[in-house]
Amino acid sequence: MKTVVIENLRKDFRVKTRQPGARAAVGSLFHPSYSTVHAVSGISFEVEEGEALAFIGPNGAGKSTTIKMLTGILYPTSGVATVLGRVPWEERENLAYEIGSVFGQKSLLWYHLPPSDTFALLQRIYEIPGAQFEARRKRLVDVFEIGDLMSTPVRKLSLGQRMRCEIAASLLHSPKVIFLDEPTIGLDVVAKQRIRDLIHLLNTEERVTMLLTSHDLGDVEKLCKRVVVINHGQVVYDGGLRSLQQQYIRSKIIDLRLAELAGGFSCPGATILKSKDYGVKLEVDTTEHAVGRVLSHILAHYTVVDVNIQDPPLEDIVAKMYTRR
Amino acid sequence: MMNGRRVSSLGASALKYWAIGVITAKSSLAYITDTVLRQVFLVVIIFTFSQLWSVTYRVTGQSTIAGFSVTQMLWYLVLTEAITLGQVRAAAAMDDDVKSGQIAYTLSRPYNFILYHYATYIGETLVRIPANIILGGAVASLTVGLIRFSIASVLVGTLSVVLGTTLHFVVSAGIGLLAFWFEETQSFYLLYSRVALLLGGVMLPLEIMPAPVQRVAAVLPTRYMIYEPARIFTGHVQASGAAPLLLRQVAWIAVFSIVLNLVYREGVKHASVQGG
Repeated sequence: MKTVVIENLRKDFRVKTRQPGARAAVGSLFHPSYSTVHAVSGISFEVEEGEALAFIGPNGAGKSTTIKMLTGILYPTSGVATVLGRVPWEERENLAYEIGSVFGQKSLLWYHLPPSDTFALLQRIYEIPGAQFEARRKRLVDVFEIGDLMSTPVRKLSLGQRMRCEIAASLLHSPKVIFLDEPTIGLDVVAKQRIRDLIHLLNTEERVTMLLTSHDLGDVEKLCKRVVVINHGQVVYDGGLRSLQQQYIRSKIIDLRLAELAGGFSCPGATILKSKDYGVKLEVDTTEHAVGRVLSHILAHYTVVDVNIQDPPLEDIVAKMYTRR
Repeated sequence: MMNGRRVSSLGASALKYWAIGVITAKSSLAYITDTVLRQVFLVVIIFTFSQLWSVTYRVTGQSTIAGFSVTQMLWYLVLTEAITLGQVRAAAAMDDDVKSGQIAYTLSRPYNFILYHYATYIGETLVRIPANIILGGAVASLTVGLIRFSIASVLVGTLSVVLGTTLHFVVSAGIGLLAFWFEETQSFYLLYSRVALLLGGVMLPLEIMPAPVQRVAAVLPTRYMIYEPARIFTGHVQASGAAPLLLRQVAWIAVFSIVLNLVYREGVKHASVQGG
């Protein structure tokens, strides 16, 4: 079943433009000029029930605008979208009972009060019956291991502790769809890992449909099998994470450990990325040179103690996609 | 898939906004010391007024001016200043919500945007106003003495303060929501707040104003925000005869609520919450 359906969705913003200088400022009072920003330019994709989709793109690509249309906050310029069968901008308040959102940079919790107060407030806001609320609260407190944090004012929690409480709070009303916007931003490696594990657990156990926007591709790799990449308001890729890697990988990274010092190392067809003591890191552009030929050359001219061939990091692949128009 | 329109019971809706108001009040109490310390200004104002009015009454040799004794005058000013300084800046909150994009986060929850803001406004305001009255009242008691309030005037007066504060909210929230169209709403609010200050009886009871000013003030809603509620406490409006006043407050709230809703509905369609 399709949980999210987007067809040719478009959002234009009219932005007031002004030339520098006092004269232009006065002139703009009488003859204001506007330009149109095409934030989202006719995108289409669907999300299946229980699917975890990564919705990524560089800053200003149109991700947040799309999410805001899907949560009913913004009216589109044209196009169609439904979330759980509802048109978000026509049924925002009704839809809000069925969706959840976690914004890594915006807190849902009341800063001066303990999380238990926000939880009690959310019970009222989402109109959750008493027994159902107690059971749900207990489960989330157990899963997120936040029992001992519930009575501590939020301002005294670490960022990692706060995020666990944030996500638990946003799941209190058992949403069917959850929008995760940079859920691990600012967290240390351990806290990030923990949050990812918890989100993954909820996705698999409760089959919550997830739309993740994140600049941290570690989140994407851990949580999502499918990726939609948006750039300049258009979908530039929609498919599996693996096929994205295969389709866009244009190079291989070779890590060498030599028997001799790597100081004078050179190899036609390969770019040296790093060289230190006995180690060399090379990049081979596979569209121009076969990896086998490069390796044969190296083995013929140097004594190789160890070799490791890998794909470039996902960050590099996506960065290249972002820089294309 | 169920796509029916969800209808919340009136009780559930009321509980929702009550809970928002309570949590805001609770949060304000968490830093009540800061809140009170910020009102040191109030102490200075009330002390200054006490000195000015004591001299004025002594020099003129009158026991009442425009129907106010010196004690009533100072307590009137304690109330008007306590209410004015206790009211949370709803216009600024709305303006900031629209311009910062925070509105996007508020709108993603199942509540009415305006009622949410009203609940947070009233929750915090109703913590700050009593704290201010206690602080200002202490200064007034020490300088000109206590004023005698009847229980009825306190109850009816409190209701009138809540209505007056609500009226101030619906007007100033509407001004704040002009941020959907204008880059800067501060100038609109400044204009309104100055009118409210002068013609709403904040600095002086309207009886003292020149007749033409009184005639203008009589037809403006600003008199129902602070001036009339304060007069119930000072005994210039009897609690038993306050019903028409309360009804007029309700009527003005109704009128400005309609305007506020229209501004909001059109504004949301006009919203251009970019980025994130």
